[in-house]
Amino acid sequence: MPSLWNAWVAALMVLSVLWNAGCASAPLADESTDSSGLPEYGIGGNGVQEDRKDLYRSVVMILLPDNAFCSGVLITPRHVLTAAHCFCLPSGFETRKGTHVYSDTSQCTKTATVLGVSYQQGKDTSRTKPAARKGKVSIHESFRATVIDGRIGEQLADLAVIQLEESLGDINPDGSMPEVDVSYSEKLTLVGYGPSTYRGIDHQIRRFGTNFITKVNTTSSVKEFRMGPEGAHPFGGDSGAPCFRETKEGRWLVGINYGFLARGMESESWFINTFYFRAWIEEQKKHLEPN
Amino acid sequence: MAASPSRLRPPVARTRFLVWTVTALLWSALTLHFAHCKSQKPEQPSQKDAGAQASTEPHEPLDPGLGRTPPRVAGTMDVDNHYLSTVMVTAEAHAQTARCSGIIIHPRLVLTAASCLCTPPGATLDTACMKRAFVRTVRYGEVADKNFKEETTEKRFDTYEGSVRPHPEFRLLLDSHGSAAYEADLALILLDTAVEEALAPVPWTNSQVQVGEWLVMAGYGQDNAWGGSPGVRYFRRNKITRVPGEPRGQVIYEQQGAFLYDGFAGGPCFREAGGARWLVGIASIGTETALPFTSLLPFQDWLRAEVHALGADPTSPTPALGKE
Repeated sequence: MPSLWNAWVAALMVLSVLWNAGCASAPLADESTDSSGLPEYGIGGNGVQEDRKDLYRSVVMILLPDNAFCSGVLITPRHVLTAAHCFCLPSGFETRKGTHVYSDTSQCTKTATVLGVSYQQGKDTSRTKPAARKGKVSIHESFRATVIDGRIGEQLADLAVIQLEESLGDINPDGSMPEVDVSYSEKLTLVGYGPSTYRGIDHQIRRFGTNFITKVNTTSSVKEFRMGPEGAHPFGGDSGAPCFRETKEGRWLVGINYGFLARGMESESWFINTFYFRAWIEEQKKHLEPN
Repeated sequence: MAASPSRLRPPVARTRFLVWTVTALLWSALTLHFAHCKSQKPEQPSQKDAGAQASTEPHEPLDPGLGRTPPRVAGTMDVDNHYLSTVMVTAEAHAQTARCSGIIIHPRLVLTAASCLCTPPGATLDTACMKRAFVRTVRYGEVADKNFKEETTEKRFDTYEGSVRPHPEFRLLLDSHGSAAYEADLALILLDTAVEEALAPVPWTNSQVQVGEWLVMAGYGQDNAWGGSPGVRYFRRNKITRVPGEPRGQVIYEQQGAFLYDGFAGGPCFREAGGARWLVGIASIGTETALPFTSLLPFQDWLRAEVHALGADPTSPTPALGKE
């Protein structure tokens, strides 16, 4: 009988530990510097693959000053939609201490080089054929980024459109805007040129994978949604990467990646909800200045 | 003293009572706990009063997600295909980043470093090598933007599969200071089918290298911290600083940069003079202070035997052995 009592005492002790850990709401130790605790399924890990069949040729790479690069998506043959912060955060912002607000769009980089990449992969032979075009950058007028110690505290209207000098050959754009808002637990496809692991070194390869929405955040100024750690996860280089709703009827551009939190099972990726920016995006599509 | 039955009964009853009480307590505690967890979760923002709210609840700052392309200190990209016989060595057929480099010395033989494909053998451990490996030739085409050669050059990859044949004397040596160095860090990959690219055979040198001599190394360099652009072959000139007697054939280059280029390991080291080129050695895995390669001179018998074993194949001429 005493052994039964001991068992209950032990069970109580275990439960008291679980009580403290169960909610998992307390921040974990700083895992962001330790890749071992991070999900291994970035755009490139489990369930994620290289786009060898060129399913997402509309997803382009954007080359920026200081060896930086982002991802983006062709919304017309001459327009690329991406994240504004790719152009508007000053050189070396990652190492700047303190809180800085960047909202003056006149300070943003004005031009960029856009790469469309065709893979044409066969069994034993493959070709990577990039086409490069220069373009002019337009930033959303409500863009505002708050950067705290080199990391993103808040980003509003983090959208930019690059108008290309000429079209990227025969690549079909993916610029259909959603007619309905995204919803909790909806499954979406992410495509980008970031590496397959946090701070991984295998970037500059187009990969895609799916994930589920864990949070939809819509206020008067914030229009975003988030995804959790279970599926494809964006990493460095996936800023501006598109998020598609794919059904039998077609493909809709529902989100643009603007940041991520790499914290093991608490990892999140954040997206601008394009549903609320349809009017602006449609307006940009019509806008073509002579070269 | 024997315990009477009447004295046994109450503890049993008490235990039962305790079990039920504890169970009830635990149940209510758990229910409370989950309610507590639920209440901790932020409410659905879609139901929030959007009115004067300027932003959402504070959150932990995010990584901005900008990528960085690697710094260009690995050397010069071989856009003119001068070093086409320098190949990527990978573990997967479609890998776009090289595990190592290698050089085609015969249409069916690729020479690389054993340390790329084998676990370091010690005094007590047998060499354990990958049985099969992939070799990818990379031919460059049009460069779309000269400012971004690495990213905008058209690349054609041809993939071949083959069996790994490490040098039988490949091993890890520890010197008196306890630092490790590989001996006979060479391996061949015997390809299932001959390479289709028509490549001019590169003769092997017959003479020793000298301290102070400049050699050219070629390979698919990628940086430890930054990675590399997929399928980019570099070449760069390196000066020899030491030719130690041990391990056999080891030659040390001057370590030119703070960055280590892993992908160069297994790649060729050439002597170049008057438009001619001789194969001198195979790059080994370096450290921050030393960049070693293995001279082929002490291992020529093994190499010749391996090449001659394929001699019956009419599609595989034996490379000319160069005289200087």
